[in-house]
Order: sequence, then structure tokens, then C-alpha cells
Amino acid sequence: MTTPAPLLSVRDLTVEFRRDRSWLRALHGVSFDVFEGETVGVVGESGSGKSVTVQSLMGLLPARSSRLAAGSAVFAGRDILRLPRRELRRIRGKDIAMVFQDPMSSLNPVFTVGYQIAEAIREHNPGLSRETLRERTLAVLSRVELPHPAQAFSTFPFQFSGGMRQRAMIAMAIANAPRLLIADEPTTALDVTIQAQVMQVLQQARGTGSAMLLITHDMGLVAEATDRVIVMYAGRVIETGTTAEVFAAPRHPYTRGLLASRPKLAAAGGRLTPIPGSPPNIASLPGGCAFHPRCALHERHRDPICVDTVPALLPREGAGLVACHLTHLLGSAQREMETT
Amino acid sequence: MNALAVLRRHPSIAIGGVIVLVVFAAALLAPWLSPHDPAAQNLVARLRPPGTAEHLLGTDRYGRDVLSRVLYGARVSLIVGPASVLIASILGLTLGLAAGYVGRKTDMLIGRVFDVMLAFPSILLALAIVAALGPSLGNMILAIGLSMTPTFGRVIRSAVIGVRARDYVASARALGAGHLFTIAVHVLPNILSAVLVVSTVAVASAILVEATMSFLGLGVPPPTATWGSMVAEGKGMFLTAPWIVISAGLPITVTVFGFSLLGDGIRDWLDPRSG
Amino acid sequence: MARLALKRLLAAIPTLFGAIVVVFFVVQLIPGDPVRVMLGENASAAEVEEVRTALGLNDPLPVQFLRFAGRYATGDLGVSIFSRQPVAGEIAQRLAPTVQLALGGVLVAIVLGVPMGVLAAARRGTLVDHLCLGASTLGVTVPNFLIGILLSFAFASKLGWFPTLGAGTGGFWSTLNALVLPSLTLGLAGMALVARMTRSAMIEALGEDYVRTANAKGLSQRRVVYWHALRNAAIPIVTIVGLNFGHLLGGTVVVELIFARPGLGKLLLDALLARDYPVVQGVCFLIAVLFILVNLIVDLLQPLLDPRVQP
Repeated sequence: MTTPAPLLSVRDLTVEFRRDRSWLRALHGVSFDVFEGETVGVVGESGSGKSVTVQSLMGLLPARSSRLAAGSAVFAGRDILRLPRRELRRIRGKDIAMVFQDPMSSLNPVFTVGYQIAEAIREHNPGLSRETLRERTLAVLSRVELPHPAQAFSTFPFQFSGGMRQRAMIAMAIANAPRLLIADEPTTALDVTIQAQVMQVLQQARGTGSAMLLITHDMGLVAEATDRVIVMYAGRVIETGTTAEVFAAPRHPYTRGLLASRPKLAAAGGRLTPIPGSPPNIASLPGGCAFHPRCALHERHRDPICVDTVPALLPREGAGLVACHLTHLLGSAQREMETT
Repeated sequence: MNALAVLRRHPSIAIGGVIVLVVFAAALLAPWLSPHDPAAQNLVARLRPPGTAEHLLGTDRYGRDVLSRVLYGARVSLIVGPASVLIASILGLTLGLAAGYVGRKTDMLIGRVFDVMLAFPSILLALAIVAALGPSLGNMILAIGLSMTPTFGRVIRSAVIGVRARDYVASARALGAGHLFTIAVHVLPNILSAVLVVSTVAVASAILVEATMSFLGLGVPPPTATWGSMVAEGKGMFLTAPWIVISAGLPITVTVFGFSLLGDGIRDWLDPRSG
Repeated sequence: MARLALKRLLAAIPTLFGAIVVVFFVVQLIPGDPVRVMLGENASAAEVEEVRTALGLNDPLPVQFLRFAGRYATGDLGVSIFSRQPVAGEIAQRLAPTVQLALGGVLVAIVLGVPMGVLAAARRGTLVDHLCLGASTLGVTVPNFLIGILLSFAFASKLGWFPTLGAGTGGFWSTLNALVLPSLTLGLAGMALVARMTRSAMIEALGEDYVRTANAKGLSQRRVVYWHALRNAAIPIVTIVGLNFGHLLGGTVVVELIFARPGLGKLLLDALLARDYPVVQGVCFLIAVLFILVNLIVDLLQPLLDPRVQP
């Protein structure tokens, strides 16, 4: 079996933040691949490191208070973590583009929507005439289904509704037909009623040519929109696999907890069971498996290995990987639910 | 947190404080530190350059000892600065409390008065008042104090509004506490830090205004030595006797620097977010 | 835009009226008989009475005020006690050098202060930042008369690049040349203030999400800092420049004295020293009017700088 080379290959990504005089590790050797054209979901609670992961790929972390301790991220044959600024700039917004969570604060309030999109196009296509630039901007605006593109062009962000702002944000990201689109919680800040619409626009507008890395904590969105899923906890990848397999048979207690706390699944029969406790502070991570203080499996079996040793990411049954010492003790999702 | 820890975390309080203390000591001890009578003229020892044991900072064109005049000059600056700030803070506190606590029409009226006063540069207001009342130490303190009142009033007003909105003030009122009691027990203690910060920085600008007025010839009248008037006297002789301007100008700068450093440090200490 | 201008103009009228009240009452502060104070002890009783009647000082205070306000409202600022010339005319003659000086001072404050603040913010926490902060602290603690004397000594007396005194001998270049040192003297304190304001406004702007977006678009650092961030920081900077224009006007008194410029500040100082109250009142009022005017312009600039402010 020959696998095509991945579009993006992240290996052992380790990032640290400065707090006072010491460096705190936010990512502990994160590795994953994204292949041409696929959609990969990255899920986890807030503080799990999913946003730090994508921002470090884009070189958007604050230079003075963060540092890359180890790792590589090979995109189209080049390690983008070690590119000179100038080279990275050529990739940002062209080959890799990003949609942010809050479209209100992510758009510059003093420039029109059209200006901000045209600026993204011009930056990577110098020498375009004013007319061509305007035409291409209008075309992008209509691709995100903004009514009256010509009018939208000269509108300021504050004059838009939240959904329209996010469409404008998407337009800016897809303007240069990127090979990889990173969407960081693209619908979280929006009204529930328009989340589905905006997601649909995002899917259609990016077309089939680009891969997408979708950061979210919404498992429903992952189920609907992604091919594969990466589950993160406390700065580590703890389970990966195809979305279908992970959802059918999660092999990590945390993943199972995330799925059990989905309202949709609960409505389908089971009870809504939140994961007890809260995500750990990166300044004081528990030893061993960072999840063990909240883990139902550990509570039941009290295996000292969970407290002593960080579990390695190993192949799970079916395709994919999982990092859990006790995964073999985990029954099927169905049985587990009945017992609780 | 003990005092030493505060000073270590906020070195500007320590540095500013030391400067202010030194200047205060110089002013207080001027009669004992001064080698000569600051007003004593000595026509045979005019414009002596600095560096001699007799006249460490030289003499001016009347043969008066510059060092002695600088030391005595500190007294004027250190009386006018704090005293005018005291006046401004008492007036500002009264008006700011009235505006912020009573609100509505009173607030609007007092706000208008502040707007109008702020339309005049504070130095002009102070100059005009002194020109009307006549130049003297007391009038100068009054004039500078009045000219700085709107700045104080505005800061205190917004601090009061912030405190008044808090729950404990509303509940104190709901429990039947009188207005004066509420102000004294709940409002005043909570705006004191704001008053302290503005006051310290204001002393710096008051000293600057005092020096400027003295420089312009509208300060404390001669023969009292003031730093500003010394600079004015030395200005015309800067080419031949630069030590007069420098000896009087440097203390102004250092003193103003000390008070503003102290004020910045206290602000950072009391309100870490604003740093 | 025109409606906003009209609205702001109407809102400025009570402040203007208040300024007339202040100017009127400053003279009421004079202890004893103001005419005696004005004319000195040697004036005869008849002279005093003549001036009293001429100034209307025998009428009740409200009547005096209404007459005074009425005169001011029609542009009649009274007559100078010493030159016997109308105050409005004296002011008109002295206006140009002061306006040039004030503009020069604002220019110095902005041209030096903004880049300093931007640089400090972009290099926050580095040596450059500390140097900029140190320089701006110096700018607010060194009294402007000292700066003036030192600049005049170094660049006029020693190097001879600029004239030590006066406002030039007429002609564009001569006027400009004579304006350099006074503008620097006047503008340095403003520069310090603008630099501090720019620094904090830029630090805030650079932390905003839209700056991250601009970086994600692949824009150059220069474009992100000087266009996306500074364009937003300009909103508070312009406001602070307007609010400190008053300080700047106050500083003209000192600067015009040091450089012997025949402007309003010099006129005011001479009037203050000679107790020529009508002139003091007139100049103070005019300076208040200039301050109100500048802040009116700043208000009108807001919708241009910030589209969220509705004109």
C-alpha cells in the first residue's frame, strides 16, 4: 500500500510559554498529518493546546513570551517552523490561511471589508490592476454568499451582523485559494441559529482543492464535517483516527467522556454525562497520564502506572492511535453507558 | 506585603522617594547647610566660577553664593508644591464628591465649570490670578491650587462614580445609612488611593508651574531666592556664567523627576493593571 | 458632517460663555480698588474717577458683567490701559507669530513623539523601549525655559545655525529659520506626552485580534505595525494632542520670552507685569477660544479616523 506524502506533517511539536522567570510547556510533542483535500478535526476542552498548535504553525504566537522547544512541521516539503520571516510571510495567507473565532475583533474596525480582502489578494499577487483586484474581491465575496457583494465591499465590519462578518473573514481566508485552511472555532462566537449556515459556506467556499484543519470543541460539528479527528488533552494528542471509527468506538476514556457529554447522543437514549472536574492548569500538570485525576477508568482500577508514566501514543484497534494505559480495559461504548 | 518587598518590586518608589527626601532635607536644613546668607551681596566677589571652597557653586552677579540660594530656593518649591496640591485636592475632593455622588444636575453643572476652567492652560490661569491678587507666596499657592482643581475634581468624580456603583454602597444606603455616613465610611476610603496618586504627580507639575512663574517674574518676589528666578537672572549671562542657570535648573528637573517617579511607582503599586 | 459641525459648534457656546465669566471674574479678584492698582499710587483722584467711569466700574456687578459679555460677544475686547489701543487690534497684530509657533510645536510633538512611541511599543521591554521612555520622562521633567536656554545656547549662540532672538526678518525662509528652536522648545514636552500615549495605544492595538489576522494574511511587519495598528492607535493619539493643545499655548508665554518673539505670549506677559488687565483678559479669552476651536476640529476629525463614530 502506498500512501501519498502528507500536505502537512507535524512531528513532536513542543511549545513553551514564559511565566515570570520560567518556561511552562503548553505542547508536549504533538504529532499529526493532514493530507491533501481532507478535513481534520482537532478537539479538546479549552486549554488543551489546540489553538496553540495551529497558531504556532502559522508563527502567530507572541515572539517574546513563547518559544519552540522542539519539533518540526513540514508543509509541502518545507519546515514552516524554521522558515525565515520573509519566506513564512509568502506562505501565510496564500498557501495556508486562517479563519479566527471572533470575527468582530479579528477584522480591523477602521478598514472596509472589501479593502481587507483586496489587501490579502494584493499582498500575494503584486502588480494586479485596481480593476482586477476589485473584480476578484467581488468574486470572493459572492462565493461566501454575501448578498450584494458590491455593497459589502465598501461596508465596515461594525455594520455587519456576526454571521456576515464571519463570511467576510472566510472570504479573506479563501481569497488566494489556500492548500490548507485552518479554521479556529469558526462558529463558536456566532448565534446558534446561523452556525450551520456559516459552516456550510465555509465548506462550499473552500472547494475541493484545499485541506482543512477544523479546531473545535463541538463534537457534533466534528461528526458532520470531518474525515479524521485528533483529540487533544493537556498539550498532548491522546487519540486519533477516522471520525467514523473514533465516534463508533472511542478508545480513550477522555474521548468517550467528550462524546457522552454531547447533547445529541444523550437525546438518542443515554444520559448526558459531563466529565467530572476541570482541565488542568499547564503550570501544575498531574504526573503520569494528565487525565488520571478525572478518569473513571483510573478511579475504578487504580493502576499506579497511570500516575507514574505518561502513556505513549500507540496503534489502537482499528485504524488510528490512542494514548491510554488501560485502553484494553475499556469496554464498548454501549456497554460502558449501560453500566453508568 | 511589608514595606521592603514593596520597594523591591517597585524601585521607582524607592528612587523617587529618596530624591524627594533629599530635597526635603535640603530645604529643611537650608539655614544650617548654607555656607552664606542667600541674600548677602558681596560686590568684590561677583560672578565667581564654581569649585572654590568659599563658593562651591560660584556666585551670581551681586556676589551672592549660588549654593546657598539653591538650598533656600528648595524651600519655596517645596512649600508651594505640596501646599497648592493640598488646596487643589480639598477643592477637587469637595467638587468631585458632589459631582460624582449627587450626580444629575449637580454633576452637569460642576462638569461645565471644569470644562470652562480647562479651556484655559493652567499656567495662564495661575498667572492671571497672581497678577490680580499680587505676587506673594500665599497668592501663588492659591493660584496654582485653583488652576489645578479641575484636574483633581475630574479624577475624583470618576473614582466616586466607580465606587458608588458597587453593591456595598447601595446596600449601605438600603439599610438606612445617611449620605454623610455613606460618603465617610464607604466612598472616601475607596477613592483615597486615586487621590494619593494624582496628588504625588500633581506636586511635580505644581513645582514646574511655580518655577515657570518665578522665571517669568510673577512668582514670589525678590529678594527671596527661587529656582525659577535664579534661572531668569542667569539667563542673560549663560555664555559667561553658565553655572547659575545650571545650578538652579538641575534641582528643578531632579525634584520634578523625583515626584513624578514616586507618583508613577505608587500608581503601579496600587493599581497594577494601569502599568 | 455639516450637521455634526453645527452640533459641536452649538455645544461650544456655553463653554465660550463660561470663558467670558472666568475672564470677567479674574479682574474682580483684585483686592481694593482695581483702578488704583492699575494706575499706581501717583494717579490723581480725577484720573482714577475718569477711568472708573470709562470702565463702568461704578455700576452694580451684574450690569458690569452683562455689558462686558455683550462687548465680548461682539468682538470688542476693550482698550489697553497703556497703549490706549483696542485690545482686539493688538491681539490681531501678535496672532501670526504665536499661531506659527503653536503649529510648529504640535508638529514637533507629533513628528518626534509618534515614531518614538511606535518604536517603543514594537520593541516593548527592550533597550530601545527604555531609552524612549527615559527620553520622554526627561521631556516632561525638564522645564521648558531650561530647554529653551540650552537650545538657544547650543544652536544659536555657539553654532549660529538659527537666530537667538526674534521671529525673522520677514520672508518665508527667515520666518521658518527663526521658528525652529522655539518650536522645539515648545514641542518637546508635548513630544514626551505624545510618545507615551502612542506607546500605550500601540501596545493595546498590537495585542488586538485584527493584528493577528493581518499577520496571518502574510502582510509585512511594517505594514502590520504602521498601517493596521497605528491607524487604530491614531484615534486616541489625536484626542490627546487636542486636549494638550492648551498646555502648548500656555508654553508660548515662556518660549516667546526666551526667544523674544513678538507674539501673544509676550503681549500677555508684558500685560501681566504691567497689570494691563483689559489686555490680560483679552489674550486669556482668545487662548481659550483657540483651545475650544482646536478641540472642535479634533471632534470633527473623529468620524474620519473611526468609522464607528457616526457623523
